Amino acid sequence: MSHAIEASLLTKNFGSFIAVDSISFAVEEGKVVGFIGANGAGKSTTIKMLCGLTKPTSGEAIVAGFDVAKHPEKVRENIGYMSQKFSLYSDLTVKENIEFYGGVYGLSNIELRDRFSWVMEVADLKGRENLLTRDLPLGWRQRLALGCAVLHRPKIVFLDEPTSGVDPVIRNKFWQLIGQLSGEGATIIVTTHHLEEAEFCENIIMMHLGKIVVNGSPEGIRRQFSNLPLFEIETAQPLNVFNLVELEPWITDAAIYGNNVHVYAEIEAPVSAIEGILKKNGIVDFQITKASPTLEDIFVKETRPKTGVPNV
Amino acid sequence: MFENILTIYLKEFRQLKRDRLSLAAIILVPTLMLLLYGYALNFDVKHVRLAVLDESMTKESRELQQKFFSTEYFDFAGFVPGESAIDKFIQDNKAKAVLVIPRDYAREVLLGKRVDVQVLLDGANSNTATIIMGYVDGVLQNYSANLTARYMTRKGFSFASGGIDYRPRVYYNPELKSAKFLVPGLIGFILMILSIVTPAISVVREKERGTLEHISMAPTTPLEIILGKTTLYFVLSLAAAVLVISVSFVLFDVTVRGSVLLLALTIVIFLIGTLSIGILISTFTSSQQMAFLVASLLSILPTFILSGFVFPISSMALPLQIVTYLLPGRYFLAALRAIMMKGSGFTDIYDQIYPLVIFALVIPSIASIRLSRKGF
Repeated sequence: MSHAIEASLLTKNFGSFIAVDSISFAVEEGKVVGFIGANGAGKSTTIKMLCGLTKPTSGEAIVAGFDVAKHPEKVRENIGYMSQKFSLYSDLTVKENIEFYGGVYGLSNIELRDRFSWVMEVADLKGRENLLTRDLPLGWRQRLALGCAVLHRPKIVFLDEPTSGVDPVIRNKFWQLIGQLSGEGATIIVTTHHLEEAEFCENIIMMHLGKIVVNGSPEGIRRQFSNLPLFEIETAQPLNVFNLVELEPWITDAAIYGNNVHVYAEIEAPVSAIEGILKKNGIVDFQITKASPTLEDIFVKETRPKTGVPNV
Repeated sequence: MFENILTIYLKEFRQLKRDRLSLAAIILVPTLMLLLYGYALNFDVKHVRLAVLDESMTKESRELQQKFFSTEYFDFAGFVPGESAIDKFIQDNKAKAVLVIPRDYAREVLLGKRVDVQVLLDGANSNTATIIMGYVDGVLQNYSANLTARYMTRKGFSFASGGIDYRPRVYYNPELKSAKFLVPGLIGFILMILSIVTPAISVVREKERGTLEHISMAPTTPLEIILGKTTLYFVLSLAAAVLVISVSFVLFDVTVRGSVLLLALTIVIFLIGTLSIGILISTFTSSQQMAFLVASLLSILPTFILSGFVFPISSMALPLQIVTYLLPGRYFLAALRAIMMKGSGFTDIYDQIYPLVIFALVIPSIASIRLSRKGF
């Protein structure tokens, strides 16, 4: 299978700040790929370099078969881009926005008519053609923005934090639309800092401080990290348990999830070691099981400073 | 290429159509300025309130007063009861000037002697005071010569016309109306604002909202975006010029003496330069406030002060005079005045046209080089 995107040693410096630090990766055609990372991890800068909006300090990127630095116009013909700021003109109507983007993307009248009804359909905007965009609820505006970004049927669609600031119901509807685009054959690159959205992606690239820390499919990543010393303590007194285990130097991380406490126990025979402390402190009603890490566990683990002492 | 420009133009037009406030500003501001400058910024000094202290109270002294009040420059502001009341008249602003005719005025005049007549002036506004002094001087010189002639004739001398008879004739603006002088300047002023400030803000607004980023992702080039946007402001600027000329014809009787085609050509050349200044500003600024500030500083102030709109360039300090050579407004105003008031042809105003052509070539080049290197 050929690659929609190939990036090698892509780097972007803003003065002395390294926003993206020589990252390399490839994206297969037709995949939905999620860039996950905290704010400032370098996701948006990476997307902007791939779209040709920002020139890389060094390294190169091949997008849709063209070198972004050498043939930006060829790349542009093949990509669609939507950012968290949206692309819509709030003082134009739904119809006028679509006509405008159809115009700048050079659609013929017939194509435009065809795509117009398509956008109306997928964005659920029928009957709202003449409403000003600023009067639309956020969810509709977001789908309209995506519709406008893909009017010209791009091979690759870049979505930069498209779901920031919307509620989960709207977010799920938006992901349905992404799924539909993917079903039509488009490659989709989406950045997010919602880890639950990672589950919708076929591939995940986790970024931290300008570097890629994890790259793979959700299942693949979970499998890769399945041997993490992560344990789940089920108890009626989660707070007490948490306070006790946190004091141990070999517990490198601990967190409470409802009635469960998750701990990383980096020690030999961890189960008996945990049992030991709890019993010594008079807690008897608990159960310890080996837990399989969630993507969130893995992300938190991988973005923690490697040389650092445990969280205190 | 053409379709893309049209798309941008149409979008810009639709946005402006919905932006009632900006639209109103674009139509109302020129009209309002025309009214303000036409009626308020008036350098003509007429109907000066002149009070009289007539200690002579004779036929001769009344004749002298008559000479003042028969012109439209002076209005009678009352008799001053006595010398001590003069200060109060000027202080209370009852009169801008007071004419003092001495007790022995009639006798001395009849004897053919030299008489001192005093005029006291309110000098708070030096400009007005200077002009009033000129009027007073004119009236008195004229009347004085008249008196001398009469005296000589009475004494039996035939008074052949020696000396100089001063008969001025003012070309182009015979009534010396300020409005006629100001209207061309005002057109330049309004065009500056429309063609520099509005496109700069229009581009920067799209930068702020992030829409420009999305358009630049499309296959549309920056040049097409710029042409689409500026075409609208170009059309608006031309419409504003037509509006100002029409309104000033109705209100102030200002006509275009020269070729309308030449006038239009001059305006077009000027606009190519100024619209490019606006675009250039938008590439340097990233917020609407900043763009407005820079655009205003570069357009409104220099045009108002340094282009000869109100203050004559020839009476500025030398360093400032040199600066004015760098401002397109200077040439544009001179050319406009020449075409509108004097009816000058192309060869008469060639000296003003070629610097404008240079501006219209250089500034768009700088703007497009910057755009192609750095983007917006």
